[in-house]
Amino acid sequence: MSFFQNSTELSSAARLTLLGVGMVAAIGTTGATLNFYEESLPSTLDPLYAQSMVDFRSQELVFDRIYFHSPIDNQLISRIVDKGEVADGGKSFRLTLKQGLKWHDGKPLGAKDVCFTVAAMLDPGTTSPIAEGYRTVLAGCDVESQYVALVRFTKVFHNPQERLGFALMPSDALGGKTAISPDLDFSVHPVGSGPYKGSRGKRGVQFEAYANGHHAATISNAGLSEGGDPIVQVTTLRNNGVQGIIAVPPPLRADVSASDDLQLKSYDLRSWWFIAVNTKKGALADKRVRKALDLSLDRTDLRQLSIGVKPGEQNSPCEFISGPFVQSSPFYNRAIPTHEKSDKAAAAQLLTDAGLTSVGGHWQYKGQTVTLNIGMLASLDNEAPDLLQQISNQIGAAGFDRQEQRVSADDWNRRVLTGKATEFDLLIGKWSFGVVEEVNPIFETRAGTKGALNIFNYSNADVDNAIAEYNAARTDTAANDAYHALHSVLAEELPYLFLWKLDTKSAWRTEVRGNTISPYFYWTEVDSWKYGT
Amino acid sequence: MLLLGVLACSGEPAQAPPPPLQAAKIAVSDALVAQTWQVRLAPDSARGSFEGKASWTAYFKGDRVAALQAIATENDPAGVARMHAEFAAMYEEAALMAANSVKQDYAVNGQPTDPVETAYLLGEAGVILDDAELMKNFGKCGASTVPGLAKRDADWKKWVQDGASANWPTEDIAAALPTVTPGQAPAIPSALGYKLPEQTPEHLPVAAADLMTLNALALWHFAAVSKGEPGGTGGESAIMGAHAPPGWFPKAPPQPPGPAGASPAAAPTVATSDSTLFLGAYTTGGDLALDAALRDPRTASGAVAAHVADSPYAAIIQSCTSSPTASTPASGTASASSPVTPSGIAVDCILDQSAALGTAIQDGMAKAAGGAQDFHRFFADDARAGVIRVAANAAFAAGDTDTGGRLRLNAIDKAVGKAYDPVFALQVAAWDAGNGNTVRATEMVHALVDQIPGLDVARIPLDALHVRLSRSAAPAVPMH
Repeated sequence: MSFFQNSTELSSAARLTLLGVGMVAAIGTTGATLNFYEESLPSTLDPLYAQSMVDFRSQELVFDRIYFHSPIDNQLISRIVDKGEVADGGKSFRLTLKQGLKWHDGKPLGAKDVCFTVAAMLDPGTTSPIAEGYRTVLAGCDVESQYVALVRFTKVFHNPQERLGFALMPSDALGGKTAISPDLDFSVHPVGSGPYKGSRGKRGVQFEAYANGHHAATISNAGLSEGGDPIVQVTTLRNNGVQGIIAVPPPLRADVSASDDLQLKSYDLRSWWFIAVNTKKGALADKRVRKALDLSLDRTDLRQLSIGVKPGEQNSPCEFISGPFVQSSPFYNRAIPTHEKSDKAAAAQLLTDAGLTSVGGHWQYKGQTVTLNIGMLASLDNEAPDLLQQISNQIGAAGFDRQEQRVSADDWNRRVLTGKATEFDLLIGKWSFGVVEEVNPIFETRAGTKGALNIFNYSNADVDNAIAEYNAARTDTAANDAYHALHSVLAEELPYLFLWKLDTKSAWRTEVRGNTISPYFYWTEVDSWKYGT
Repeated sequence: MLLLGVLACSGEPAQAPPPPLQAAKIAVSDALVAQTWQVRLAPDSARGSFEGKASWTAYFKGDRVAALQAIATENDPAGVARMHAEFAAMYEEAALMAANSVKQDYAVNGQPTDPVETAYLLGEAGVILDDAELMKNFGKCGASTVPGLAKRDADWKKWVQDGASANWPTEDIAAALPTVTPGQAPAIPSALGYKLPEQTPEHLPVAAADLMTLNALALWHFAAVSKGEPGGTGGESAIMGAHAPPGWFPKAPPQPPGPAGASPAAAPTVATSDSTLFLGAYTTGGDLALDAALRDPRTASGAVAAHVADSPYAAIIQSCTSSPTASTPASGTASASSPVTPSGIAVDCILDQSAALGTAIQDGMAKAAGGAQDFHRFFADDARAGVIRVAANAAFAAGDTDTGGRLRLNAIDKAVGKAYDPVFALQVAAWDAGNGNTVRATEMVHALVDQIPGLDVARIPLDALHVRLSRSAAPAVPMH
C-alpha cells in the first residue's frame, strides 16, 4: 500500500472511546430536549444588545426578524408579514402583518410592535450599537391600522426589505418605553415571538417551544450549556449526552466525520482571530516594537500546535491573514503578504532600533524589563486549545517577560469592548461577520458612537481617513478601494497582530434531522428540526 | 462528574434521550454494490495501475494540475481524458457562476453609476445562461473606448441577429490560448481583462473579464479530451454533460432521440474504464450516465428509471421517491416519517441511504480485500457524498428547488476531506451566485483559485457581487 496508507490519518477515536467509558453514566440525566453545547453562555437575550455570536444565535431562537434570507435559496422572506409593498417612491415600506400571531406572553402581535421597535432603535436612550447602525437607515414608522405599519427610511433604497432584518420587540412587555437599556430583566427572560420561549439561568438557557400561527417547532424543548473541554464535548455527543455542538475544533472534526452516528455540519460564518495591541502603553507605543512582536510570532507553529493544521495542508480550515478581513473577501487586500514564520533577527533589530536593550535575554525599555500582560477571551480555548500559552511562549522566547490571563465573556463585553481593559498589553480575540464585513467600529477613533468596539482606544488619522472614505464611497469600487487602503495602513501600523481566519463546523447526532443551519444566524430554520426514528 | 453536575443543574426534565437512529436497509443490491469501483478495486492487486502513480497520488491529495501533468506521461489515455473532462466541467461551472454573478451585479442589483460596458457583460451572461432577455444588451457598447470591447459587442449582436447559432464568435479569445496539448492546463492571458470606467466624475476603473474566456478554457479541455483519447469511452462526455448546459459543446453528451419531455428515453449507457471512475464521485458508469441525463431536459424525467439496473444512485433515488400526489411517502426504506416533497424525493431517506451505501461499500471492500483497511472509509465517502449530490440534481431536474437545495446543503457537508471535489464545489458556487448568496461561494472559489488556472477570472464578478450585497444589506456590527 502506498499513497492511500501514507495519506491516512488515524483518528483519535480510541482516545475518545476511553473517555467515553466514564461518561456513560451521564446519559440518563439528560432529557428528550435538544441539548447542545455553545461556545459560552449568552450574555443577553435582548437582540438590541447582542455582542457575541452566542448572543446572536440564542436570540434567533426567541425572536422573529421581520425579513430574513432563506438558507436554502437565499430568498428574502418573512414569517410575520402577509404583504409588503414599496411606498412613497421607495422611501417607505408598508407592512401588512399576518393576523393571529402572538408574543410569548400571549399578547397579540401587531403593527404597533413594528413601530415600537423602530422607535426604540431611533431613541438615543437605547445605547445599542445595533440600533446605532439602523439610525442611518430608519427615519420613523406610522401605525396605519392594527396590522399595517408604514416604515420610513432616511433615503430611497432599491431593496428596502433588506433593511428590515431586525428582530421585532414587544411594545407591551417593555411597557411602551422606547429607551431600552441593556440591564432590563428582559435580557434574561425575554418576550419574543420566535419559535421558542427562552429563559437564561446561571448554568444554561432553556428554550420551550411556543406554538404560534407562524411557528410550529417540532422539538418541544432545547437546552443550551456552555461547552468545556472539546474532547469531553465530543465524547458526550457520542454518548447521546447532548445532541449537538455548535463549534467543533478542527482537530476533532475527522473523528466526527468518521462516525455514522454523528454528522459534521457547515456553518457559514466569517471569523478572524487577532491579537489587539495596547498602542498607548510603554514600548508598544512604538510601531517598531509592534512590528517586532509581529515578526516574533511563528504563526505556522501556533496554528499547528493549537489548531492542528499541518504546514502545507490543503483546504485548511485555518488560513493566515494580514488584515481585518478573511482572504476570500473582496475587501481583503491581497497585495499585503502574511507573516507565516517568525524572523527573530529582524525582530531583534527593530527592538534595538526602538531603543530597547537586551539584558540577560530579557528586553528592557527605559531601564525596566518589559513585561507583557496578555489576555485571551476564555471561550477561544475550546476552538484553539492552549493558544494563550503558545503565544505567550513565543513572546517569551523572543525575550519578553509576560503574564497570562483568560477573560470571561462577561468581562470581555463589560471591560474589553468598552475600552476599559487598559491593564492589558495584548488581548487575543476573534471577530465574526456575515455578509456585512464592516470593521469601522473596531478601528475608528472612539468619539460618541464611533469606535464603539475599539479595544485599546486606538487612534490614527490615516485609519480614520480610510474609514471616512469607505463611508462616503458612492460606488462599490470606491468602497473596496477604501478598505484595501485601510488594510494596508493597519498592516503597517499594527494596532492588531492579525492571525488567521478559522471556519466553524458544528456536530449533530444523526437522529437530529432536518437540521439546516442558516449562515450567520444558525437557527432560522429550527421549526423544521426534528428527531428521526 | 462535572458533566453530571451541569446537566443536573440545568433543570432538564429527566426523560430518556432520543434513541440513536437505526441503520436503514440499503436499497441497492449486493450485485450492484459489487460493481462499484470502490469494491472492484479494493484488492491491492486490482489497483496495480493506480498505486504508486504520481498522477493519482496528486489527485488523491487534491492537486489537479499536478495530476493532469503527470498522467500525460503515464500511458493512461482514459485517465488523461477523464482529467481534462473534469477541468472542462470546472470551467463550465465557473462560467455559470460568473454569468450568474454578472446578472446579479448589473441586472438584479444594477446601479446608475455602473459602467456602460456592463451591458456587454450582461449579454455574455445571457449567452451562457441561455437568457434571451439578457442577450438584448449586446450592441450598446459601440462607442466604448475599452480596447477590443466594441468589436466583440458588435460581433455578438450580429450573432444574435443571425439566429444564435452554435458557433460562438469567440475565435480571438480561443486564439489567445496555447495549442491544445494533453496534460497541460493553460491560464488566461491577462490581456483579456477589461478596465471599465464607472459613470462618475472620477471614472474609477471596474475590473472585469470577458466571460467567454472561461468558455474558451472549457472548450480547450474538451478538445484535449478528444486528443488524449481519440474516440473516448463516453465517460468523459458524461462528466462534462453533467455540468454544461445542453448543446454547449460541439460533441454533446449521450442524448437519446426524442423531444423534450419525451420519456422514458432509451437508457444512455456509458462505457467507462477504471480511470474514468477511480477516486471520483460516481461509483459506476451508470451513476455517471444518470447525472448527465438529469442535466439534459430531454432525458431528465426518465433518467432514474432508466438506470436502476446499473446505477446504485438511481436505485437509491428511486427507492426514496414517491409520487408527489401520494399520501404516503416512499416505500421500502427508512423514510416513513418524511413528508412528500414536490419531486417526491424524501431528503431523510436519501441521507439514510447515503450512510447505508457507504457501509455496504466498506463491507464489500473488506470482503474483497480480505479485511478492512483504513482507506476504505475514504473511498466509500466519495459515494456517501456522491449519492446526495446526484439526488439533489434529480430534485432540481424535477423542478423541486427546495428539496434540491436541502440535499445540496447536505452534500456539501459530506463533501469534505478526501471526498472534496472541486467540480462539485464550483457547481455549488454557481448555484449560490445565482441565488445572490456570496459568502459560501467566495469561500469555495478562494479555496480553488490557486489550484485551477484562470479561475481568478470567474472570481471578479463574484467579488463585485459580494461587495454590492455587503453594502446594501441590513446594518450589522462585528460580533465576538
